[in-house]
Amino acid sequence: MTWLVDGADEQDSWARIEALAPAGVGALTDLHGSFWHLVDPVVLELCRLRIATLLGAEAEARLRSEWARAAGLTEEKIAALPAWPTSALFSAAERACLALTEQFMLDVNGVTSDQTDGVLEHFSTQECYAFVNALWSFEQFQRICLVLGVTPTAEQAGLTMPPATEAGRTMGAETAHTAQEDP
Amino acid sequence: MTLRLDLDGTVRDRVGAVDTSTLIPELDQHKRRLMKEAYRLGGIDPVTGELVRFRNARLQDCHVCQAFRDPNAREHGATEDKLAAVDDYEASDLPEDQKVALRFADAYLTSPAELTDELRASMRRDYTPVQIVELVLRLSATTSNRVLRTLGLDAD
Repeated sequence: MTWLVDGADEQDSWARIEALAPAGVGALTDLHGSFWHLVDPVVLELCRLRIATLLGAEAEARLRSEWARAAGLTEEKIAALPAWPTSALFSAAERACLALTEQFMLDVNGVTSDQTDGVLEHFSTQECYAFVNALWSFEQFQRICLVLGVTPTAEQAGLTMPPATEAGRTMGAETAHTAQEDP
Repeated sequence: MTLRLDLDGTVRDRVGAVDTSTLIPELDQHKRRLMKEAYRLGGIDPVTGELVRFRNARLQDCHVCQAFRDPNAREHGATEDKLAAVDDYEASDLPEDQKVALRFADAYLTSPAELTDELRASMRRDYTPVQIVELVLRLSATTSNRVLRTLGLDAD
């Protein structure tokens, strides 16, 4: 429940915050929703959910990216996320990305070249740049939700696919650079 | 700090970080828009805004951000003495409303899920809802220094 606007309930908390600064909050959500065609959406969603767990962002942990679901991410795999270092469900690329995610969250100054090189074994320079920016964007979005006490819907968080891309949904899932190797 | 992407480290952007503008232009456009809109709200006193930005720079240990100075904030009184005070702001002679903003920034940057009722009340006392939204948008935008740190884009 947000403390910022009197009388806002959980359902309309995000809209009430957005109304205070439409252009600024719009820029935030547009950025937050901009990564799904730049990097494998399954990797992104796993890392977004890991960030939510590490921050204690329960509401964001309940949201799901349509892009990741369309690309094949299952609830079984999401449930196994806490065991990513040892679970057979996760590929080498996903492990490298989750390892960097955890270090990014714990201490950004503790990130090592080995950790970024681990991601670059699977991603191009552009994808690695997009991936790290996604970590930052996901993290900041969740921090804002937590600190203001707001609960966005998946659509408000930019996790849904725009209707215009419905026809391209399969194509998008196929063409997004995949880091989903067989584990 | 080592540059960790295959980029020319001698080409720098306007704040001195390694230039990434050609990598994914649409992404950098989104980032610039967030920064612009966060600062365009203009409801936060420039000195308070600069203290919060500098507190974040110190916590992330971002070299580029620590070297940068906002000329507008400087004009309004963001002196080097004031910036130096952010490391131990509770013991400083900064005004209480600026200390409240710095406490809020610390909560945002460290444990946002544990924001206290007392701090919420202080924020509501000293800042309007729009100013508080501006503050979190500024924090979100300026913490992009975490990307710089991760990828070594603020390498000397």
